[in-house]
Amino acid sequence: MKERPISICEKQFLLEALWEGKRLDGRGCNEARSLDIVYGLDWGSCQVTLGKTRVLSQVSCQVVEPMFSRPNEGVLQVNVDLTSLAAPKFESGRPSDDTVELNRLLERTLKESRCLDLESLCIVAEEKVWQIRLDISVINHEGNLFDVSSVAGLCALAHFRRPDVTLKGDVVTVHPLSERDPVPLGIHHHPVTTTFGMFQCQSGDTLTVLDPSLLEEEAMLGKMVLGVNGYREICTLHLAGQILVDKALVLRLANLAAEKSKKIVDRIKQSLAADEESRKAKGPRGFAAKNRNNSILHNAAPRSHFDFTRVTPLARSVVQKNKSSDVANSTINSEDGVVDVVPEGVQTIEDDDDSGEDSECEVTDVKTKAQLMEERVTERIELDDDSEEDEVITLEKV
Amino acid sequence: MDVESSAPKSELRPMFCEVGPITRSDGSCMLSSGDTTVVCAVYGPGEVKPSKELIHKACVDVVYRSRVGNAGIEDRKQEIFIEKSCSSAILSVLHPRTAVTVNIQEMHNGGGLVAACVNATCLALLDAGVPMRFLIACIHCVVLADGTVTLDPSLKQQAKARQQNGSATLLFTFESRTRAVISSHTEGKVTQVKLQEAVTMAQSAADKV
Repeated sequence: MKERPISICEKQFLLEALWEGKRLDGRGCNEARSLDIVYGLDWGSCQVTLGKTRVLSQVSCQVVEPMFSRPNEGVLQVNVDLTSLAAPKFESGRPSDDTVELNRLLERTLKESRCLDLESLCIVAEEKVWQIRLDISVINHEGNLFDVSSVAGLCALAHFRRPDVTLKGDVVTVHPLSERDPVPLGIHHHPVTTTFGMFQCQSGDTLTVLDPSLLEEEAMLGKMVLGVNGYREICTLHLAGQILVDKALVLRLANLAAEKSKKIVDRIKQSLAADEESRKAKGPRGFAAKNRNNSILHNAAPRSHFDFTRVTPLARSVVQKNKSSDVANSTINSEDGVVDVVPEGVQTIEDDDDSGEDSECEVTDVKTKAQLMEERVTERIELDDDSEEDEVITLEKV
Repeated sequence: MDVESSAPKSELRPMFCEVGPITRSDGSCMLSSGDTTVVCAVYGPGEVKPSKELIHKACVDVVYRSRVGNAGIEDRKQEIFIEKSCSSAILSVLHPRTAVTVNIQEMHNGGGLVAACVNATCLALLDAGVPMRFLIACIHCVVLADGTVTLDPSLKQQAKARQQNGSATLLFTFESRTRAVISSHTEGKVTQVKLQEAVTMAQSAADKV
């Protein structure tokens, strides 16, 4: 589905406001929207909201054969889905450029930075390893998908617990969750991305804004995504668009990103601890409980109880009543080796025909079967005589 | 909510809905029935691909995604059921050669997922202002081998029904004007009396939805 493109006056308004140092939603140029992390009931399920952009992530695991090149390491698979749920321009089927960019960026941030301890995912070298699959679904797209997806992915990985495995000789036992407590994944460091949108000033300078909203994303000339972990190490650097940057800008943004990432990583760790506590205290958890806040857009219904003691006898009587009309009683006539199942309805119609008064067709002649067969015969062919095609020549002795 | 009892209960789990979580779509809602949470967005009536275009009415396109894994056959089955339930409700003849696109994302499955999806779709269609003949409500029930009929089952109860021989999972969709059944989906064996019982119970439950 095509989307409405940003109009020229909207773009101009945005740029002029930025030249004055103002953003449309009132934030500062280096201010991000509020980040909210909610964990689901299952291990490895997480929903992250940045302003109105909402992303859901889920981690699952499976035992597979390892890659040939890395026989004693587990496999991490990252999959991002941009469906038309998030925005009308995304279509399921062939991945669009945005999807590929997002996928690749997350792979670089989470896989190639080696933040997950893959060697601990090995069960039997060269034969069995854990494959961790991270599925990220974008629920709402209001700008800055990169940041939200990376935080969601990281939170889900940090939250996930895999089943415990014991090895006795050659026998591998995967314990179900009911038998043994699941084991968390080993995470070395926490890389989080920060996105900067870049605009061109009248004077030729480059203006950067942190965490661009949807409108800013559509109007911006270029973007820079920096993935920094909690130890101020840069894991990812992605520059896209039509803007020229100089190294001073890159260094400045890297510093900014490092500060922001540290705060976000602290937030993630805090949220994990809070979830752990509420799990132990059996408090309200999960998306259903946490997504509630007092808003006129919300409506809740309490548990509804019903009294169904009279239903069974009522049901029986309904079925009995309908039984006589629904079930067709059919008679079975067997004559001369031919079994005919004649439903009752058909017989009554035949009776009507015999009376002849109501039916539309007239009975002209009544013939027996033998007579009908006689009439059908068009030509009689006698096959008793010899065929007269060959002439019989008697040879006489001369 | 965390403790799932396997005792039969004739009650609907507490429901909660939020309208408008998805800002880009024409209508959206997030519905949770107990712990089962789904998000649904509706776009339409709008642009349609020429291959899906119908000249006399709007085409209803449902896209369902589960939390884990790529889209599979199970997802397609859900899509078809949801589409059949909604098509009868939407006044599609008012908008020929357009498409009403329904997108559903599962957020958490705590049992009764498809029912939650259909209910969420109805709410999202309302929010989008798509002309509808009536509202629809979907109830999930489970008939166990010992004859007990349970409404709105939790995941454990659903799994038990699937494993037991002689039990069935039933899905009914009702319409709001006469409480007639629009669509139903059955997996498993059930006697006629039990079916009738389940329909009656589900009908009264649909009032609440």
